Amino acid sequence: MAFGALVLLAWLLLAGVAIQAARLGLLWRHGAGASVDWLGGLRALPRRYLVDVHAVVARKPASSVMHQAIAGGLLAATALLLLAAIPALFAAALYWLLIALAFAVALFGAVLVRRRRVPVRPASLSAGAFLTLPTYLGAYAAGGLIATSLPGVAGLLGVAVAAFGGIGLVAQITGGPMRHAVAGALHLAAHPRPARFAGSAASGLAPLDLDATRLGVGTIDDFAWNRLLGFDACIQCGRCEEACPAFAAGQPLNPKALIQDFCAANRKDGATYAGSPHPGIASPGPVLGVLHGETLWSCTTCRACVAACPMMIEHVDAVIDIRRNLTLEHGAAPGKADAALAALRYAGNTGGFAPTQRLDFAAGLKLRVLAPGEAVDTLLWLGDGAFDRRYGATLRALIGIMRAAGLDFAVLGPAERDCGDLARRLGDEAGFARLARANVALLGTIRFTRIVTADPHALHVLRQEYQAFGGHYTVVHHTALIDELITANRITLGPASDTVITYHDPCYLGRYNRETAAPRRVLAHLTGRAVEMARAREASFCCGGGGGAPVTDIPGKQRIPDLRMEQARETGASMVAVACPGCTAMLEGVVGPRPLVRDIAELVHEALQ
Amino acid sequence: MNIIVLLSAGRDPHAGTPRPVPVELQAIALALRLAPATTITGLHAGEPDPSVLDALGHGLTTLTLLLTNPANDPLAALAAEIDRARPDLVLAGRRGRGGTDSGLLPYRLARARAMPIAADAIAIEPDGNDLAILQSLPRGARRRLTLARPAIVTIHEAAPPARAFAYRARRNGTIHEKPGIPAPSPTDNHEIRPYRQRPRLIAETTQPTTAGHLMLAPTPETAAAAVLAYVEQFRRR
Repeated sequence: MAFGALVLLAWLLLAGVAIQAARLGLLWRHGAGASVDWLGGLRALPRRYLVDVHAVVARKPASSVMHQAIAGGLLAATALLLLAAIPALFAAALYWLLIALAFAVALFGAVLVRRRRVPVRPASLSAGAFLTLPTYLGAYAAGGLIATSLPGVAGLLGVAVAAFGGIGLVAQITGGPMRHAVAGALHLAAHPRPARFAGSAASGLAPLDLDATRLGVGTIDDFAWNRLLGFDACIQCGRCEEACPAFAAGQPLNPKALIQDFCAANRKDGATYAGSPHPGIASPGPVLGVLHGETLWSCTTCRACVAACPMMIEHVDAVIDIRRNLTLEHGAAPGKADAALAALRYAGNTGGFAPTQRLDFAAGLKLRVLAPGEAVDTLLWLGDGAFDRRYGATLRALIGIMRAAGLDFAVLGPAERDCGDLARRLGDEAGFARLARANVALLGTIRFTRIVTADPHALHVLRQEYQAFGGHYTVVHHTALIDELITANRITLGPASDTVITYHDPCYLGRYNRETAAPRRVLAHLTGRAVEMARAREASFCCGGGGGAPVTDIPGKQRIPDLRMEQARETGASMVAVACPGCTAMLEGVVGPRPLVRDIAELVHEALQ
Repeated sequence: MNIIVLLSAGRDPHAGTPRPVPVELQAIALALRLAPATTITGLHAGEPDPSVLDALGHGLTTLTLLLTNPANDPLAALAAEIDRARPDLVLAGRRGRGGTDSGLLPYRLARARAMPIAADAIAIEPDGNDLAILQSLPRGARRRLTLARPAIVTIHEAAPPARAFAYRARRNGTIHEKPGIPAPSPTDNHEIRPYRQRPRLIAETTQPTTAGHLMLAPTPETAAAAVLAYVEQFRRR
């Protein structure tokens, strides 16, 4: 009798899940249209869940065991119960043993879920409905276990306990933690950037229709429906919060709270969020009815949150979408952003310099400047770092290396414009499109086999983001070029020193383009004592220089580069090797005694024989 | 209050590309403090230059373009439009900055229309039928003026900052194109030559000076002799 009641309960719960999922679906329908490959997405779902998601979850082994036990046990037990409606299975004693086993695993999982917050709740985990979640999970699992293993009244009592837990869980689908289970599965199938599962590291920023009535995201309904679905998939695990450099510096941005703000904006009953807030700012704010502009402008677009998110949510693309609206419709980019965007618009570089000054750093080097119609093997893209004398030193070192290797290379010189990275990250898509079209047209007038640049931001934009504007190029970062030259014996370095050096991964090279090996191989030729910071490679901690953060300059309690330099100090390194003009400027701006900051090109140039 | 903001075809001082004149954008921001955007019009005589059109991104909603040859004298066209529109206040930049903006135009316009003109305003308030103007003087000094309407006021860089550029406003702004009045440029018979850095002339002081005398275009030999004589003073004996 208890068995029959349990099967009936499972089917009733399934109906409840369907109703709750439909209610969620109505919320997601608020969003704008998006073309989704449902068939491909659903087919890829098991792989995305078991491989991609669990690769991220498994970075915290305890969480991985917890999730496998609770999700695996719960799903297996419930699915087996549903199938028990088939008389042949219902009659098999072994089958019920299997169900009991699944419930036992789920019960173990429920205990692990409880242990996450009891006795001590870590700051990055939310409270609220999450505190009742283990009770419902435990009740459903324990009740199921009792009903399948004990006879008579005890068994029926077990069904009642399981019903209590099951109904509690189903009720939590619209407003509580169990929303993650339904939305998470659908999010993996209808992901807004399916290319990421194929290893693509690009962002999901599409060029904007600049003639549209609405530019960017101005209300929550302007997000595509599958983005709204993605926000609802968040389980508030707090990994983005732990990864975020702006949050660590006390700036008013908590990526976890940001995603929950989006969820709240899509609901009439508003906020039920019970995790750590955006530091130092009172919610709600005016943007989308929930946010403050300062929260969005604090983002350095480093994508540490995106890389840390086990649910594959794309925080940064959402930030840029709202920034587009703020900048293009309201001119609301704060600080020096308007001046920088004006400089880009009128002078073609972020500093507003005369275009001829781009070559001032190379005085006396007699660089070959390409004229339209000319050809070269390697085009050296200087980037806006060229206007900065400090980065000019790095470029001079790189040019020295390229000459030592006998490369056929040239520069665009005054004709080169900024790649548009700053404009795009600050939301000025009109400015970015103008620069992109001008640069693509310019690159179309000359012939080259590849572009080398020392600026990872330019590398990312030229390699990944100009494709939408018809620019398809082979773009090589200078650290990859140096690595290639060393391997091919085109340059020879002196013996490795014993300086303790730690390498700081630029976000736009490491996370955006997954290039973390070449700089380390080069470094291994330079020193026998390379050390790693705790946060390295795809988990690297931003220098604070991306996303226009230095021009919007949102105050926090600390500065991001100071935090990063502290992490470098902890390794005992006397030198930080960098590979980006932004990182050089930010880390060299740290005051007080600190490790030296040198670009890999400078170190290699000094070691040339 | 009906306000006209005179706009020039500015040029970026470094890149030479079309760029709005910053102080004229500050004039728009000042006008927006005085009156709703619907009563403020930008006015330019010349071609639809991007620098002028970009002013629409900084808070201006309508722009009147008097189509003339940019080499022409815009005075007649502007004066005729001011007669037609009868503004209470005309705002302008204060000096040429490298584009076609001329520092003299507001004064010529004031003379042509017998309107009072005040220079270098940083704040304007209505004062009954008059205008109360706060004028910026050198070294941070300020002076209050009262001007009868209609008046022309040039704006100083110390005025409140311009509104940030908003692409949608630039895109959606209204542009009225009208034929201008062709007139030969008053500078047609001027000689134009490249700028040459002049030595700075310093007023003679009564205090005895110990060093330096000014040599205008000396021969290399006399210049070298002067330098040697100067260095000789410091030689260790």
